[in-house]
Amino acid sequence: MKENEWRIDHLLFGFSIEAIASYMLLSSSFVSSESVYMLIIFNFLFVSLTFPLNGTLTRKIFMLLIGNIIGLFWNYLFSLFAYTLAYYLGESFNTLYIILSPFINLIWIVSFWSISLTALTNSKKQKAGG
Amino acid sequence: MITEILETLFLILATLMIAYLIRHYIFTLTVLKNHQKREKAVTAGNIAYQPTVSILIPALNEEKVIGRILQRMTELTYPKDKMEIIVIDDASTDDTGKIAEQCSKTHSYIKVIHRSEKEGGRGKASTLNAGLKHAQGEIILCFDVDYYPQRDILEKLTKEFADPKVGAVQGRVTVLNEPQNIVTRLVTLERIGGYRVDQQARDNLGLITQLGGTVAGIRRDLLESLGRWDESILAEDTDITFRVYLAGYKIRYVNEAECYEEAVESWRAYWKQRYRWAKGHMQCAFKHSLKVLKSDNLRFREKVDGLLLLNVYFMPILVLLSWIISVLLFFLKSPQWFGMFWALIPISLYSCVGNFAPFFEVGIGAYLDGRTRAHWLIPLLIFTFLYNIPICTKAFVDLLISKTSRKNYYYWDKTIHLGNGNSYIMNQDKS
Amino acid sequence: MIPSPTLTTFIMLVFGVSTFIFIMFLPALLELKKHKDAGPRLIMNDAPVMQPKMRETVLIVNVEEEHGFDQMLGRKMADVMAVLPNIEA
Repeated sequence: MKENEWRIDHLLFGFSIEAIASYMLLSSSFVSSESVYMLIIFNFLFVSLTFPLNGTLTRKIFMLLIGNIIGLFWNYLFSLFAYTLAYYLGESFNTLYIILSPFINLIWIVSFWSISLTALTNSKKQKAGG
Repeated sequence: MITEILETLFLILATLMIAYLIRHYIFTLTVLKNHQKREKAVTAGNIAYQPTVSILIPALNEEKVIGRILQRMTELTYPKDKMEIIVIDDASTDDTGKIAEQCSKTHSYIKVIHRSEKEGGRGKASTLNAGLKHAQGEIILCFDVDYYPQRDILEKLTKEFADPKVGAVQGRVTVLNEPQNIVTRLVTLERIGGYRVDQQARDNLGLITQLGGTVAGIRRDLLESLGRWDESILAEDTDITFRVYLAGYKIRYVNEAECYEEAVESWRAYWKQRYRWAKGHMQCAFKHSLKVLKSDNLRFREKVDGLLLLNVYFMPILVLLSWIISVLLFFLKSPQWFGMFWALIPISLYSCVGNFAPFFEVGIGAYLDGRTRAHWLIPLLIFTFLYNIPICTKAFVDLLISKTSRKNYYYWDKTIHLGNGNSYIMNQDKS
Repeated sequence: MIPSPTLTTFIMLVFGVSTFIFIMFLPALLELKKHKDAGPRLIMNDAPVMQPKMRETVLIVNVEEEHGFDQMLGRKMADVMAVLPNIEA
């Protein structure tokens, strides 16, 4: 019989962490509202699509943490960039930020998630081989 | 007033996008959950039901690949006295007919039907109907000429017909020329998501499993009672899918019944193929949506899934529309709830790619297939989706024009197969 | 109050954002250029040709059983014949 590919226990644990993280983000005054939305979306997508897979819980939590750090850094960088652009090139570039940021955010989320799948596939192979 | 209308429209579109996202997420989880159940391997020893089959292979100018599939047909493990292969040469101008005739001379179960220039060129459905007239088998199977099936694929497909409620079956399609270029690699990702996860989940959940027009089988008496393939529909496979369900039968998806295909290798060929699929699918949406809603043979969840499936090729157009509306709303007035839904648009962009499997279906499908890095190409699928927007828009506009002008202009604008998959066959065939 | 950004800051931010976007697509570009998983994915032929032959062999063993043939020897022969075509493949 094939190895179980469905880790519902990890999924439930992941949703709990995600709920706590979302609450903390929403309560934080240091993170902008756009960043909060994107991080909540990232956390939900990552937990729901990665935590059910095979692999150690530690690895998944570690990747989730890295993803959040990347997300926070990226949102900070991009918002600074938009502010600077608006300062030099006019207020209308603020709107460009509002329109473009969800798209670019999703690309990094998908890209990061794809790499995470590789990490889990490698972990699955190590487990099978070892 | 205008703002309120735009807000309402945006909310409706957002609801549709959420519906598709939830549907695809449920599919992904279903496949993950059911992956542990391994199907019993099909061998001749445990097959109780082996009906007679007629394999239809429609061919139009396929001299580069016809020999390959016919050679493969002779290697199938299904009893030769229970199968016949019917090649329908649709007025080819190359050596397709000659190559097929040579094969038929050495194998009595291979027949070739040549259509004249007057009869031919009317589309795949017409070609299949021409072949059907000569078919004797209880089960009709269709293979596109660029395909390369497993040797025991017929056993795997036909065993499902032991259940009298099953009207048709669909096997899995895997891309043979995947390493060729970026187009073939992206098409492979679409196939992985569409078959490994989307189709499998729909079969697991008892929803509407779609026939793909190839690697597919249907009962001959059922097909005859449905009036054969509808020659006015470009997507004859989708049309038959819904006619089977509306007649009270089911379609099974058999993931282990696998067949290689030669994917399109250029963006131009991609456009032509997807345009045909989009237009045909939209024709089916107009034809069957109301019937699906009213049918007594379908359960509620089958109706919901059927409607979502029928209208999936409208999604790229609707996603574009929602993006335009949201930009307008942003400049006119940005309501407080707006920020929450804004993110839906890019997620939905990724939700509508190729076979319309979202990025997470593609990724999970690749994961279940044991692929290690193929899913790294997933971010590039956004460009494929952006390419699908004008394809679907043009298909819709052309369909509306043809409906209003009542001019049905259908010809087999088929995919050109270059035979580049041949070099991969030598490495893949283990038998 | 946020201080006014300098031109240097602006250039650095442009560079930073561009680099990040490039890094996002880097895995895809790497896999395209130096592919380690280019496919095609192998599909296996599960049902070997020998299965029908094995069934015929079992029938032969049953017939011999009626005439007092050594059944153990017969079954061993059937097992060996069942394996042989696999080796050829």
